[in-house]
Amino acid sequence: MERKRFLQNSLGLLSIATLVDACKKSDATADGGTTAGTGSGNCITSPEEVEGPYPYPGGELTNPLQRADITGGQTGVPLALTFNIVNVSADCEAVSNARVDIWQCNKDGYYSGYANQQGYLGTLSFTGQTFLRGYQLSDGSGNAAFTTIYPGWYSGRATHIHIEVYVNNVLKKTTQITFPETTSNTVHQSSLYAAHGTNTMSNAQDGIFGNSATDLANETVAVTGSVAAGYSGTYTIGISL
Amino acid sequence: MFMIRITFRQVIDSSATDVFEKNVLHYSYEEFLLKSQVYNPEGKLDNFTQMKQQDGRANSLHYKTGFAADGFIGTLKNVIPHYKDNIGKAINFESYHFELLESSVSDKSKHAVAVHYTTPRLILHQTIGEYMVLGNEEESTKETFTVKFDKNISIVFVN
Repeated sequence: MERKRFLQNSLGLLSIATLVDACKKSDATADGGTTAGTGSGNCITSPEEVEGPYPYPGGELTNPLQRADITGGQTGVPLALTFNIVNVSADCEAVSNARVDIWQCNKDGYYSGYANQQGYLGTLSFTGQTFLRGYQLSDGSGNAAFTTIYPGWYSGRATHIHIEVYVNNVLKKTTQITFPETTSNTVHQSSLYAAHGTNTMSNAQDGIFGNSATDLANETVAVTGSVAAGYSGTYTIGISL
Repeated sequence: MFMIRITFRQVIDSSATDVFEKNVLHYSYEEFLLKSQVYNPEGKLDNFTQMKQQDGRANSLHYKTGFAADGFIGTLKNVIPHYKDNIGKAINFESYHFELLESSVSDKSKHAVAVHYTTPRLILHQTIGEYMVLGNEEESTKETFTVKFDKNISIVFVN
């Protein structure tokens, strides 16, 4: 948005400057094209500038990971998550325009983006793929909503999703969330996940969640729904600005 | 006769001139500035090398910064940029990965990356000096194409 405003302002200035220059009498070389010729003779070849500023394909000035639906073709039990970003230093008021990044493994416990991951299906590589990663900018109510699938798991970790929150391009929070084990177990016993089965690492034994019962309670997202209908939940992320 | 895959490495740094390279460089740098913060919590480190030395997990910046380039690499339609066969025909890639060579939070001109484009399985009929005589695996014809070895070309798979 900042860039867009800058451009709009710059284009305004540029237009005026261009007009002034174009109207000035100048010793610049006259255009050498062949015309029918009743003009005044006071014209110059307009300066060429780059298209800039780095337009993304489709015309957006955005990263391809800026998306609400991060599923990326992965199968699994649908999961709708809304993150509410609040400022703990300002009476929990909503923080808008925060960049909320999330990423997670697929139903089989593998991440997109990198190679040689060891898992229950063997060593697999997912370079050049972006499934189950994305970010959103929080809206005026501080909400960033995502559509994804319920994460699977890999050996040694509780079922989890990673989160980062940036405000004005500054990292304000790095955290992870988990889910009630009863829900995870239900999902992991359902048809798409059953081949891998239930997670062998409990939330409490997990090396990250398990180091504080209070933190674990605060990092466990209560979700509602079912395997057939999918699950949904909201999680509030407090940051200090 | 072998089945092989070849990887072509395209290094992109501040000397980049074409639009594709400039876009990849610009957006991956912006992403580096964001994603490197978690490996530089006190803001005392300046470059990628220092971050890796401080915290090995900083190696994840290779793919984390690369995501920002994916949209542009997608526009290549699986055609490797710059590299051609010996008579100028395009060479296709099947997969790619992104490498962050170096970067600096204070100096964008030090940001340098590489994109590694890997071909589908190809038939290596023979080598003639510095040249590989290749064929596409799926083609029933005996049509071949010829690629010259280069310092940024490597055979990465043989079967």
